[in-house]
Amino acid sequence: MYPYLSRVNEVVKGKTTCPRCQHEFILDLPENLEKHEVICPKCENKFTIQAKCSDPKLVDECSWEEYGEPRKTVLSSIKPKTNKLMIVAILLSCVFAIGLITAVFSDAFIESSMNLTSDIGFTGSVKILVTDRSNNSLSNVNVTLNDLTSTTNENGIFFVENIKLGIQTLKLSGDGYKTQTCEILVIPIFNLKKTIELETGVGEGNNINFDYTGCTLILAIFSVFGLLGTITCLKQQHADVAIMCSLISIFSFGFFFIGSIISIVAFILIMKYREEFENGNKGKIF
Amino acid sequence: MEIREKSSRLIIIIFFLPFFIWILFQFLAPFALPTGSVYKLSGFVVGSDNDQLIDNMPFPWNSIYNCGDRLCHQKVERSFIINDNQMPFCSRCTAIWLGLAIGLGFMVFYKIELNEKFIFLIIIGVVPIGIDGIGQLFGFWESTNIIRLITGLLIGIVCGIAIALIIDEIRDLRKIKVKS
Repeated sequence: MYPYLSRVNEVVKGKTTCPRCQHEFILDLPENLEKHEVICPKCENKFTIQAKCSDPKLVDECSWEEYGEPRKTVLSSIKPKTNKLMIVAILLSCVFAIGLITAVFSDAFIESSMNLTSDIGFTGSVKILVTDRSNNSLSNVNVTLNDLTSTTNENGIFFVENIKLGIQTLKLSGDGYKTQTCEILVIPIFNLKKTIELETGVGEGNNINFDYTGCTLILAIFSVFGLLGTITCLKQQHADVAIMCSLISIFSFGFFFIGSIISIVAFILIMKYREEFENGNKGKIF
Repeated sequence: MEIREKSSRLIIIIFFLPFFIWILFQFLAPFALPTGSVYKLSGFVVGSDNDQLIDNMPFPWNSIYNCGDRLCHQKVERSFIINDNQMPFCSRCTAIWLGLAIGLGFMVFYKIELNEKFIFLIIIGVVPIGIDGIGQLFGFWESTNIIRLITGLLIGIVCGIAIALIIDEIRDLRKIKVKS
């Protein structure tokens, strides 16, 4: 049941952490139930450890972790710890910060990022269906989008391509209907489809009837997991939690995809330097 | 999970109280305003598009509705109506705020260790809202307010617990630094 029982009194290589300075070091220890006094090579703190517990469930009693593969003669080489997890922690804290800022001030970021995308050369397209309150399509409704003025076709559709990205104002007016002004968000690649209802009567109708799919609060929620990932990387513990947090923080969409890209980088780094997390797969806790 | 010792409760209470007051005010706001005066707030999620209506509200209700106006789409069909008034946030957002307060409130009394088991909690929180949100986004189905409430509560509670865990872990990190 416990393979190490057959190796009583054998000397095995193990890793321990000094309870005072948290320095990790490797040492040889007889594999028995006795407690052994150890001196930390860094701070010279004396403490006792036990290679094997009487009860394997009481992991906390044994601050000793067997290093390498005990059944092989050749042990794996000790990899020196790098500062990569610290870098990941900084990256994930950036994801948290920009995710939170984006969630609160996203109107400014929508405008600026769309202006930037427009400057690169991207354009968008809009398909508007104009109906009355009974859902009947309305033809020959005047539609003004920036400098462009046109009318809806016989199916009540106004379609236009190659328009500037960002928040654009649409003005609709038809005989017997109130004039309606509506803000739309024109995005690249995807064709914006929207249905606008006109109210019967004269004069001005309701302004702004923008239809948006989500709330920015959820972006802030996803950002919090970036901060949790930062903590696990700083503590260099619980690699699985760090991986999960970096994956979730991809969906924080801070500064519109910058946060997501940073999260992906953090995820790759965590996977690459996973062995540097404590309680990883490089040893067995007795 | 263990009972939290009193010495570490204070810092969690400091974080819990603003969330508690915030969600309490969200539920009080529709009662505090004249019946039927707030309806059809639906609009643009990232901008303030109900300025005129909100400006006429007394403090602090105007601040709460203004916050909802900026952070939430406030679609009337996706919001709870209390006292014939639409709530400041949509049902999912309201549930998230409520969940945050519940999660933090739970952590005032209990302590959860940050370990691999927390992944299951994350999955429980994120997966339902992910499935419901994506399904609705791509038009596979239209969610209901009850489903939005449940999924929002789950992610909110997990996030509230995560915030408390972060506070605990930061305190531990500081302790280790002081010792070394």
